[in-house]
Amino acid sequence: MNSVLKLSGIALLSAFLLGGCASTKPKVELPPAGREIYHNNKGNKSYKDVLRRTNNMVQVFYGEPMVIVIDSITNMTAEQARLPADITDIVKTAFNNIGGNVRIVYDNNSEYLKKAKEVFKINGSITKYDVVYSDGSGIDVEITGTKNGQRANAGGATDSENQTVKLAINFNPSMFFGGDYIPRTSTSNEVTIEKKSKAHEFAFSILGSGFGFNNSVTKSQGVHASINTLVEFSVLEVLGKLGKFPYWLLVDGGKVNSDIIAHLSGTFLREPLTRKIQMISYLFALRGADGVSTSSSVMSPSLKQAIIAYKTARGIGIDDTINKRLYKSLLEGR
Amino acid sequence: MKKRKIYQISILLTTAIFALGCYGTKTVEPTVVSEKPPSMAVQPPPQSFGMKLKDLKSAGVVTGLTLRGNPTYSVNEPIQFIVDTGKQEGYLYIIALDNNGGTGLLYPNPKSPSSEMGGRFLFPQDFGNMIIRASKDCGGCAEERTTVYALLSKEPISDIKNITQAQLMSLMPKSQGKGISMDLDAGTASNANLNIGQLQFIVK
Repeated sequence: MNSVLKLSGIALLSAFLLGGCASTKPKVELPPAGREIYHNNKGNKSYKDVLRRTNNMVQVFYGEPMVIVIDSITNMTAEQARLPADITDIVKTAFNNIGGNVRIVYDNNSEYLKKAKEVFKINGSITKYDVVYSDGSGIDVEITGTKNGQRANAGGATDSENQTVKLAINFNPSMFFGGDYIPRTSTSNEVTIEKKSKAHEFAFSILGSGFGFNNSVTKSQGVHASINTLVEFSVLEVLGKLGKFPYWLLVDGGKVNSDIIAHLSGTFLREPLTRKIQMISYLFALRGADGVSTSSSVMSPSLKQAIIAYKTARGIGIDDTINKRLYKSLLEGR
Repeated sequence: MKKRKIYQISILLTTAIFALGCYGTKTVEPTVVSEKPPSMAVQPPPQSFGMKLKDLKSAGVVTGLTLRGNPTYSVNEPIQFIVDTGKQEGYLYIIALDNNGGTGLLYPNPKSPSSEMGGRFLFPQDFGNMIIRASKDCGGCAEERTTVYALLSKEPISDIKNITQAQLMSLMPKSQGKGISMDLDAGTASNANLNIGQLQFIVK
């Protein structure tokens, strides 16, 4: 009887141990690095081209070059020494890389200042900059001054420890003439960059007023590249809010701006048909519609087919009629 | 008895091996990357896609469109005029009616799709890259009158291509037969589903 009890106890113990083993969480593999942001389908949403594609969008929706004056980016954090020294240059470079439809003015005597229908001034600030190192034990240690005798900065990753960098940048635009701030055009975005000590890879996520790559891990070439991406996205957002164009369509994870949707929808019907076609054509080209041009103001057979297919699939019509409902649906990225 | 002990020990050893093996292979807490939540595809409600010509009369017609243009043209001279919908918005159609009672749909056409519009437009420049020239159908006559109608409907008119002179006439109030410009009571226009305006010109 004793041995039967012993055997039962052993069996129960085994079942318990084995059951505990079976309840261990399954190994979860990371998706291919950067799949969210490097997503480069027919819609061509690779973020690396975002500035170049902004140039086209300004042309289509703003109708003329946007004239911008950029003030120095101020540091609003307590970490004066640790801030990337070239952040103002990164911002200026991002604006300047867009192309001919965004004119950056450095000289107060510039002809662009005299000719432009409006001149925007970009006031930027860094509101957060944290570098956090953690060792292999998983205990986080925040560096408050220098590390290993060297000043910690955005590019100062060490190979022996994990590193997390958080940087937030705000843009608060104003009118260059008059100086009034422009309501509902400010932006605030933050990048969190994680570097694993052994992987030699960086992953970053961007969250903020214009973008929300929530819980997505994206691969980049380094901390500096990640900050560049944050700045580029913030530049895109602030320009979109100033020029009232659908900037969120240029990147995956862009948040729809209801102010801009309301503005564009409200003015759409008053546009000449040729302009309507141009905007609709551009939006279909952005979605990767076959044979549809980004700049045509003519109703091509490809555009006609794209409109019919789109409307039919969404139950908003069965023809190629251009209306506010089609336009709004495209702007919302549906 | 000895066999039973050996049996028990072997079971204990097996259990220990299982347990140790299990802990040995236990993975470090993985990084979990959550995917974007799948977007819920909401099926839009069924829509009605426009109206038919036979429904026009019951749509509530007001002469609320303004058309302005030259009163005379020479043969082959490009025609242009202003269509002003005021504060009204809708699907615009422009129809020419000749002396023989024939109708021609100037807009929309294969190059210029139907569109919801509202505001002041110059025809044909704002409607695409097209030129419309004045012409006379009467051989040897000194002049010929042409009438252009503009309809602004709150819904698309699916068979607008088939509109006839009789249908157009039935939409016009009898007191509004002549004149090249019509600025009519916009106060009543807001409740109507169809606005109509006309422009007459002479081709010499």
